[in-house]
Amino acid sequence: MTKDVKSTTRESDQADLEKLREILLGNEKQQIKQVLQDNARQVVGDVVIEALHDRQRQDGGLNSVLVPIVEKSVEKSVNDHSDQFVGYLYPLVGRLVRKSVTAFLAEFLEKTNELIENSLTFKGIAWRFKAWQAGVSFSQYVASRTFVFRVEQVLLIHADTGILLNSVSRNESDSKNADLVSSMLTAINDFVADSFNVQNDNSEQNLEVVKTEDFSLVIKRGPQLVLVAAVTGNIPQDISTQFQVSLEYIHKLFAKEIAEFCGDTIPFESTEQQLQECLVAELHPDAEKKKKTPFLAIFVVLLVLCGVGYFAWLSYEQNSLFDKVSELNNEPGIVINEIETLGISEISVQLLRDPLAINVEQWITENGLNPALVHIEETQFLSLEADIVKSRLQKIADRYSGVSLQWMDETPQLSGTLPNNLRQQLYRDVQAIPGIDNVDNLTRNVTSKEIELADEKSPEILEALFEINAARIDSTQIEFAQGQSALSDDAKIQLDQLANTLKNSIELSKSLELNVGLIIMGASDSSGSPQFNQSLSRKRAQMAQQYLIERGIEPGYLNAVGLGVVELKTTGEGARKVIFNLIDFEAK
Amino acid sequence: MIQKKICLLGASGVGKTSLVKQYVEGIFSEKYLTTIGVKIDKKQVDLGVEQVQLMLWDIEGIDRYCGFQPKYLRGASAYIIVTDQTRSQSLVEGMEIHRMAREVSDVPSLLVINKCDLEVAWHWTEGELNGYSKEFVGCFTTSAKTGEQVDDLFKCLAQISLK
Repeated sequence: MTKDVKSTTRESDQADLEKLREILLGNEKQQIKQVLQDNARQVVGDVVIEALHDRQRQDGGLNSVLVPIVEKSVEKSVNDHSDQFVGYLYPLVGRLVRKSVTAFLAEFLEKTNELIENSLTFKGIAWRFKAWQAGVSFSQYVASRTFVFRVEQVLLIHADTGILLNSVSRNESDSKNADLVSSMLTAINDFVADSFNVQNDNSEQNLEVVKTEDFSLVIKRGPQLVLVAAVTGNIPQDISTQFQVSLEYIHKLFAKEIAEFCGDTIPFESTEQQLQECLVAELHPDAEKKKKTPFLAIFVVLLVLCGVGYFAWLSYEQNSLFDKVSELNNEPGIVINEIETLGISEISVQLLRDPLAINVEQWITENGLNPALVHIEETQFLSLEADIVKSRLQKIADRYSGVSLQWMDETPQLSGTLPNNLRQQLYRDVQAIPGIDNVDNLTRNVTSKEIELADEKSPEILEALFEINAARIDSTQIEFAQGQSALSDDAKIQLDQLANTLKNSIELSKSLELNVGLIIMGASDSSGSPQFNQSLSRKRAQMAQQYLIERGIEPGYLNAVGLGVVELKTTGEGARKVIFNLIDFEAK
Repeated sequence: MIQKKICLLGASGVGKTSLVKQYVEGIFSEKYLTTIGVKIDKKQVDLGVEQVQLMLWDIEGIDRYCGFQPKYLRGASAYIIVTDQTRSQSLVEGMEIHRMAREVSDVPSLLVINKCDLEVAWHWTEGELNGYSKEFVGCFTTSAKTGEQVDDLFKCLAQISLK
């Protein structure tokens, strides 16, 4: 009964209130609404900035709403007016690129440092070993030692279907099968809820944390969404609470999308912002300490540098040795066939060397090079290089005392006096030098010295010399063509030599107090008349006599006679010759 | 992308897992199936106008010793009841599961008569089968061994799950 009275009273209160509202606003209700609507722009306009500011200060929620809107608008603007945007951005791009390159390099250096620090310190090696022992990857182990905790991945899952709405992770590869993980997690949760349903009421048992030794899945549940954070290390309570707050916030922001969800995950892409905020981490107090100097790393780097430096130095030495040895090619009488590096410090050379060229070992020592580093394979050859020909000539000149070698510009000239036989020897020697022609000119100034020699000798020797000369003269024979009395070139050379010998003999005869005379006997063969042959033979003798006179022999020493036909009885051959006989008798 | 949860239900040994295996290459070991009673795979189906990613919940065979786990059906967009045409009992059990599923969900469902590569060895007549199929959106006769009608089945599933 009392209950009834109470409810009746409440109803009448309600009715009274309605009445009062009617009286106060009544007919003007519409009008007031109208006025409010008319001024809505002004009313909102007055406070919109402050309202935005206040809300942002209050919980920072404005960002979450504005960021996706602004991003969408910018995207649309860029798509619609791309040319204009290119114009705006053009002057900035260069600077941006420079900045990004700088940033990249800085980051790269930082990462390299980190790598060296984590890989090559004693601590790093110990960690590597421990990670191997524990059967986890090194990077995971480092993370677990460096961070008190670190959120590796955050999944946003639709609670009913187990469909993954969005996920963010530190490591891209983690998110590959996130959708299957989400469904599986949902199934596991269902399984757990079903298996351990101890309470009899309708409340469900749900997983909150799945934990292993150093890895946990923190599961936060909302009415329609589930937020799962994969965390390494021990997560503090306040971070766990933060996940809950983020999840509630997403529920609030995406209430409409959640209600209308039919499998399409695209509207939930903009939850990225909130999920990213959940990827938090806290550094281990140790890791924040001043970085220690990685002595091991420095030692290894120094060792490598030393090695590289040593090899560079060896290579430099070898190169300069190579260059220097190559200069051998400039030496006269040496030709390098092949030169190559051997190992890291030695050089091998194959060369041709004239015996008169400089000794290669000597050259190497003289140039301050290490003979042990140069392997030489030498082949002998005769060089025609001017310098070598010169020294070859000099060598020959040195062999003959009394002969000197002069150079008129580049033309060599031998001069001096030699005994006749030595002079001829010299002539042959010079002629044997390859690369020298014109031996006659070269030896022109070398004269015979038999007389001077004779002067110093005893009368017996002088006599002997005279006899030799006489024999040489007597053995001289000059050949003529048939019916001819003209001197051939060979005949002239013979006569030149004969003239010299004769001069010599005349000089000797003076010392020996002898009178000498040369009988020049012409002869002919039997063809033709006896008169003609007689005159031809005489003419031949006279031609020889005339030539000797031209060579400086006094006519008084010469007697030309024609023998007529001279035939060898044994063969019957005629002699078309002039023969000589030196006759002597004691001066009175 | 649109994602849809699909459940495969049916008596033990009718070939649900083989059916999925024929269709996808899963990353999870089948150990899960015996451990928690469900194995999940995914497969993208191209319907021309759009791509649908099916999350296939392969639920352990249900028989008289093992109860039906209605929670796994939660949020599903469609389910299929798989039967084995060599065992009459599989259809009876399938229909029982269908009845239990209907109690918790009203999503569209398909009837699958599997192992069509083998001789028909159940006693159900055409008329009886037609009677049962009326309770479903459609009926497919498939073979997980030869792959017959498997693609069509999942394509149809993707289509009905979108409705």
